Order: sequence, then C-alpha cells, then structure tokens
Amino acid sequence: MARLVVENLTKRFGSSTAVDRLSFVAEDREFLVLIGPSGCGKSTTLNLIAGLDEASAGRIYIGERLVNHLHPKDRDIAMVFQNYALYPHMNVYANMAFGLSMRGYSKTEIDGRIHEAAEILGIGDLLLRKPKALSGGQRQRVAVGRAIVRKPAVFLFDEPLSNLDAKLRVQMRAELSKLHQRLNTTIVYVTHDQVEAMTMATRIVLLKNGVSQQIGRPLELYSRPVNTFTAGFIGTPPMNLVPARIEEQDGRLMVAAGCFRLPIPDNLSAPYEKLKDGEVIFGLRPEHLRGVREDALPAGDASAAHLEVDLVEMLGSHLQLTLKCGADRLIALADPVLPVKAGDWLPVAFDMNAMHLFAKEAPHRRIGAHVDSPMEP
Amino acid sequence: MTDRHPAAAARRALGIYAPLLVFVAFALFPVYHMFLTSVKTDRALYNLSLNPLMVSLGALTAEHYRLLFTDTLFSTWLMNSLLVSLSSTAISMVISILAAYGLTRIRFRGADAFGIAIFITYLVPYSLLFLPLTRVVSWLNLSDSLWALVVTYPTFLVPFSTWLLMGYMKTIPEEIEKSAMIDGCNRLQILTRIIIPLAVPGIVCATLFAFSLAWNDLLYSLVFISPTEKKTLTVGVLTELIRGDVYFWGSLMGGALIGSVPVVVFYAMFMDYYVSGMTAGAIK
Amino acid sequence: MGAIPGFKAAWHRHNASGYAFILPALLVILGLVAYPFVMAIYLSLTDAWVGSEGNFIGFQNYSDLVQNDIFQQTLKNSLLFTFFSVTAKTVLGMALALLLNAKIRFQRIFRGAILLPWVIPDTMSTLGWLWMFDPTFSVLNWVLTHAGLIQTNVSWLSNPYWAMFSIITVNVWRGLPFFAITLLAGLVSVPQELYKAAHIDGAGAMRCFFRITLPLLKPLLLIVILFSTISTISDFNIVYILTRGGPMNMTHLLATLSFQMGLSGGRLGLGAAVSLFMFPVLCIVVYFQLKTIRGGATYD
Repeated sequence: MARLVVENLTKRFGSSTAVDRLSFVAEDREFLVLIGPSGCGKSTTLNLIAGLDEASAGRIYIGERLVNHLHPKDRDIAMVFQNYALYPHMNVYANMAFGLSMRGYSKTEIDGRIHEAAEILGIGDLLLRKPKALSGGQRQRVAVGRAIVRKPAVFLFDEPLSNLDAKLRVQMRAELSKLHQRLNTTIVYVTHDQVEAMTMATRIVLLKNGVSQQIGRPLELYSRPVNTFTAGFIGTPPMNLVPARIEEQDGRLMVAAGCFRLPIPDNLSAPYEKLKDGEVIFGLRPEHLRGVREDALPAGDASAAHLEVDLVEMLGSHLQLTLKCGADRLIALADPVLPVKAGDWLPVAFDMNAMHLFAKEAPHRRIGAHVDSPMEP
Repeated sequence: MTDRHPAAAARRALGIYAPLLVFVAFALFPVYHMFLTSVKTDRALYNLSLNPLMVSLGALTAEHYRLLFTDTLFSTWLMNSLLVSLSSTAISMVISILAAYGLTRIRFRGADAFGIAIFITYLVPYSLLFLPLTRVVSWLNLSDSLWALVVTYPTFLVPFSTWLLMGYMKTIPEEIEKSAMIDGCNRLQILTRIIIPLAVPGIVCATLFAFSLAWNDLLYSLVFISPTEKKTLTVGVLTELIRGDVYFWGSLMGGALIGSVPVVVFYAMFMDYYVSGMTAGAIK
Repeated sequence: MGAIPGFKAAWHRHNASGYAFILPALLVILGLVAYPFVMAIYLSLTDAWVGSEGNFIGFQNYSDLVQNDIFQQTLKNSLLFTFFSVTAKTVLGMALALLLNAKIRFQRIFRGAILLPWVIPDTMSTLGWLWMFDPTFSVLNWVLTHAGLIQTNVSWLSNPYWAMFSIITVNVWRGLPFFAITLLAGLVSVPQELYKAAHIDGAGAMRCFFRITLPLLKPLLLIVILFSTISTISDFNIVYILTRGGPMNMTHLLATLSFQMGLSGGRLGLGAAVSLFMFPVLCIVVYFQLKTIRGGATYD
C-alpha cells in the first residue's frame, strides 16, 4: 500500500541545516500538507522524498520499502511542479505519455490511461495542443494528468497553485480536493498558503527553519496551537498575541495586558495557578473579540474592555477593527452595521473561554494540559 | 520623440540614412568589386583607362570561373574544405553538447574549475599553439593528411561551442529535467530527448560558428599540409592561383567568392539564430 | 540510524556521469591545448629546429628576441595595430549601432548588409582587398585620382606606413559588424522609460547618450572590446595574405613572425618564444574580462 514514512530526515547544505530531524507519517490515502514560511525546508523535504536530492541523514519509506538509495524513477512517485514543468516541445498527449513509455508500457495501456485521466480532468480536447497554446489553469491540469497516468503510490505536489491567479486558485483547490477523493491516493502537498492547507489537508505538518512545529489535523492546529508560531501562522486574520501578566484578584486569576484586565474563567484556571505573578503571552483569535454597542453589553460583564479604535475595515459580512492596546494592536470583528469609526472608544467583548496562554520565553509553548505536539519533551 | 514637422523629419532621415548608406557602401564595396573582377575579361581588367567600377556588357566573361574548375584543382580543394569542415564541426559539436550539459546540470566536484578552464582555453589564440601542434601531428603520423586538420580543429572549435551552449542550456528550467528524471530518464536520455530539442537555437548557432571557423582556417592548413591535391580551399586559392609573379586576379576573385558561398548561404538561412548567438556570448 | 546500503554508491553513480559527459572535451583540452601549450613553453626554452630536438638553453631565446630589432618592431606593430583597430571598431561600431537602432525602414536589410564582411571568411575577403590594394591596378587609387584627391598612386602595401593603415582598414572592415550588432543588442535592452524620463527632464540627444546610454553599455562594451583585443592581437590571416609581415617587417604581428621564424625559417624554439609573448598580454586581458563579467552591472 502507499504509506509514506519519514524518519529523522535531515538535509544540510554546507554549514546550514535546511531540514532538521523531521519525522512524520503520511498514512495511506492521506492528504498531507507541508506548510511553512519561505525557507522553512518544505520544498527541500519534498525533493528528498522524490529522490531529486540526497538526504544527509534519516530514512524514507514508501510502501514498506526503504527508498533512500533509489533513483526517483524507482520510488513509485509522481510529482507536480509549481511551474508545471511540461515538455515544451511535446504536445499534451506526448507529455502525459512520456513517463509511461520510458517505463515500457504498451501503446494501448498508455492510451487508455491518458484518456482516463483526460476525462477526469476535463482536458480531453487539449491532447494535441502544445503547452504554449494552453492557459495557466490548463497547463496545471496537464501537469496533474501527467502524474495521474503513472498511478503512483504517492503523489507529490510542489506549490502547484502558486502561479495561478486568485480566482483560479480557489477553483483548482476544490478540484484537487475532489480529485483526491476520486483517486483515493496518498498525497504530499507543499504550500505556503495556509488557506490551502486548512481546506485540503487531512493533516498538516507545519515547518519553521527545517524543524517541525506541529503535526496534526487542521482543526487541531487551529484551536490547539502548540506555540505562538503555529498560533500566528494558521488562521487569518492571525491570532492576537500580546504580552501579559497573570495576577490574582479576590481569589481569581486575572490576565493583565496593556489595555485590559480580565478574569480567567474558573474552569480553565487550574493549569495557570503556578503562573501567578508571572509573565506570559496571551492569545485570542479575532473572532473571539467582538466590538459591541455600549447597551449590548450584559451588565457587569467582566469579560469586556473599552479600547480605542485605530482602523475600521468593511469586509461586507463583518467589520474588521484594529484596536490599540498599549504598544500593540488587537484585531476584533463586529457587525457590519455597528456605528464606529477610527478614534472611537468601543466596548469589546472577550470570549475568555477561547483564550490561550503561551510561555514568555522562546519557543513560546502553549501552557496548558492538552498539548500534543512533537515538540513536547 | 515624434517629428511632426516635415522638414525636421527629412533632416532626421538624412542624418540617419546618409551615414548608414556610407557604412553599407563601405561594407559591400569590396564584395562588389570582387564580383566584378571575376566576370571581367582580362583585357578589360588590366586596361588602366577603363573605369574599374563598372563593366561593359562586351567585357563580361565566365572564363575565370571555367579556368578554376578545369585548370586548377579548385573542385578538389572545395571538396577537401567541405569534408574537413563538416567532419570537424560534427565531432566538435558532439563533444561540446556533452560537455555543456555536464557542466551546466550535473553538480560534481571540479565542475566550476573545468568551466573556467574551458573559458580560458577559448581565449588562448590558436596562433599560439600551431608550432607545438606540428610535433603532435607528426607523432600521430598525420602530416600532409586531411585528418591532421580534423584532429586539430576541435582545439578551437570545442571551447567556444561549449561556452555558447552552456549559456543556452542554463535557460532551460531545471524543473523540466526533474520531471524527466521522475519519468524515468537517465542523464543521457534527458540530454537527447529533452535538452537537445529545447536547445536547438543554440546548437544551430554553435554549429554555424564552428563551421565557419573551420572553413576559414588558413594557418593550420598551411602548416600541416603541403601536397597540392590535399589543400583546403583557403590555402589552395591563396597559393596556387599565383604562378611566380603572375596573379590570376579574375580567377582569384572568382575562387574567393565561391569559397565564401557556403558560409554566406548558411548564415542567410539562419540569420536570426546567428545574431542572437553573437550577442548571447557578450550579454549572457 | 546505521549506514544505508547502496546509498552512497547510487549517488556517486549519478555524479560519475558528470565526469563521463565532460570526458571527451577534457581529452581535447588536455591533449590538444594544455599539452601543446606546455610543449610550446618547453620549445621556447630550447634551440630546437624543425626536424631536430635541440638543447635546453634557458631563456636565451627570450633575451635574443628582446634585443632583436625585428622583434621589437613586431611588438610595436602589434600594439599599434591592436590599439588603432580596436579603437576604430569601438567608435564606428557604436555609431553604427546607434544608426541601426533608430526607427528606420528596412532595418533587417541594413543589418544583413552590414553583417556581410563579418560573415565572409576573411581568408577570402582579404584576397579581395589584396586586389584593391594592387600597386598598379588598385581601384582605390583610381577613384582617388579621378576624384582629384591624389596625384600619385598610393603604395598601399609597399609603403611601411600605408601598409599598417591598410591592414588596420581591413581588420576594421572585417570586425566592425561584430561590434555594431552586439552593441545594437545592448542598445535594444536599455529600458525606453529611461529616455522618456530624461526627455521630460529636458535632456537632449547628446546628454542622453553620454549620461544614460554609455554608462549602461559599459559592461557590454568592455566585454566586446576585450574579446576583440584578443583576436586582433593574435591575427594571422590578414597580415599573411596582404604583406607577409613586410615591407621591412613593418607589419609583422606576433603570429606572422612566429610563423616565419618557426616554420619558414625552421627555428622552432625561437618561433615558439615569439608566439608565447602573446600570453602575458592575454592573461592581463583575461583577468580584466573575468573581473568585468563577474561584477557585471545589470539594467536594474
């Protein structure tokens, strides 16, 4: 079957380490996304899996075979590149047939597979065209088709949608997801776009400087980020992160930041007892801060603060407010009809049940009971 | 900057076309003169009172050309040049294509050093090497044989072609090769099925240059070959159409023109590749 | 995490193919360039003659040459010839490139015509010039006389000073297209917006040329000049066909002198020494060229 196992994979270029002891598993039929900022090592990892580059250390298993010493063509993989990498001097049919004919498949077999893939991708009437006569989206489909006909154990995608315009990207995302369901294969997908990761992945591997930060399902990374990097990378607009102190007031634990002082809900406070009088980083996603009207605040609600509005952006379905918080800024959402403008002081309701606290010292791990990440000691 | 005033436009045109035409006249006159000489009768040619810039219909003749083919070994020299140029070009191109691909794509120790060595070799003029090469040629027992040329021409054909081809191959996106590797090609297959088809302009260009360099060689042919029937066109025309003090100008010019035809024809056919190749060397 | 079987071996196989690809070229360079070059150096340190091995005599050839006035003359000739030729080609080439770059009709035809001297093998075209310089029948003399510009015929090839002028003219005629076409390509790649901005700032044509065009073309110019210097200084064909180095050795270049001494004269060692004098000059040229290319400016 087509399970991909990566064990302590390391790649060094001279004195710098691009990939550092990376380990993860892509189960059979998973859609695993490798994501991270530029330079995090995701493309390097993909190249190592494909066999286009040689690992400095570590092992790679495809199916149950160790493939480290195998040539790319023997690893049973297919790859779709960011720039499509179609052979410009061959037409679409020849492009798709190339890998198969190199492997000695019969003409009928090749023809059958090509038409099958063309039907899935809707490129049947493009077969005789050359790449330069195709649009970006069509070229991308041909590149995917070239991979499909190979029926590999693992599909590798290297930022395939980066060169497409926004609208096409949305469309292709949906198509790729549907394709995954239809083909039922293992996919390893590299991207820097967290929307792609969130929408398409069964699991995500988040990388920073060659080190994996968190591996898990999209929702896990979203709601239980293991450190501030993950918290700030996944989700848009990004999670609000401000420095704060934990204080005690009347027997309750409080979070005190530059612009507010709010109580921690009792049912959550247990793990934070030991942080009393300590400094932390407080995290709360924008959708958990709501700008409201004065009279809409429940009386005596202790989870609200009055903050000065710096910027109001109308997004149609809601307002996005940038609020001043000492030297920092908080992002909150509000109803589109809320009468507010820059400079106003606005009550903001904090849903403290969704709060996160992170350590002040690097690597800013999340403090709390339910942390499950490869970074835990 | 558009000139809407007709007088200004006319002045500008004059300022550009006039000097341009002077340059063109400078460039073309010698060729015109050569041609005229080759079709003028000896009587008209050596008559000082006649205008050498023109020819009257009565003084036209094909005699000089006829003489070339009947009284001299011109056709033999032509064949020799063709043979030597074509084979040395072919050999050099194979060597260069392999080397260019190896240097641009395959990362191995010493690749950079070798690339620089190629560049430096290109700069070593061949008029520096001909003396020791006489020794090499006689050791290989190739003196007075056309093979001496076929063996020594790569000396100056390979470095230049390799360098030119490297520039072209670098423009082919690496991802296409990665794709081919995953598709199952080994290095040689990548070269023949992917790289070469995509590098055709560069290959055409390098072949053109190589062929004309080989065709134009005088020094090595002079040095390595003496028997008349083995001479290449360049040497033959220069040495055999001058008997003692007598220059057979009509035939000389005719021979020189015919000797230019193959090269000029090739360039006319591939003019655009040629220009891009000329400039590629300097710009890339 | 132990050793992975076949791992290193497989990758070395990949890289080994690199060596295989460059092997033929390597053989050519080692056998036909490096080896003869070393041999040339060795020969120059002996008193070898054609057909005899000769004895090692150290730098005697070189000291003999330096004191030899024919050699001194040759050096002077080489420097003069190269300097004037390359300068003329640069200036005229730049002018021609500017002309060709203007929006003119028939640009392709002009370009094709201009290219002809470069395309024709110079062993053939120089014969045409030989006839044009003929002492008795020179068409140039005829034209000049009939235009009233001269009284007596110019001895194009038998007067030492005119002979130098003649070989420079032929070299320029042959080499001009290379400069023109290459510089033209450089001109084309200068972003037009720069000229528009300058025009708005009130700059005229001269200003535009000296302040914008020339600085941007400098790297290209340097490269072209250096390439040309190398081939000009080592030229053989033009001098050999027109003058054989005469009259009175006033047009000998290093290549033709080396040929005459080494082969016609039979003194291999001495001939080798002559041709090797080219090398220090070329090294300096190569050094500057590599520096220029490495630190090349772009049109950013």
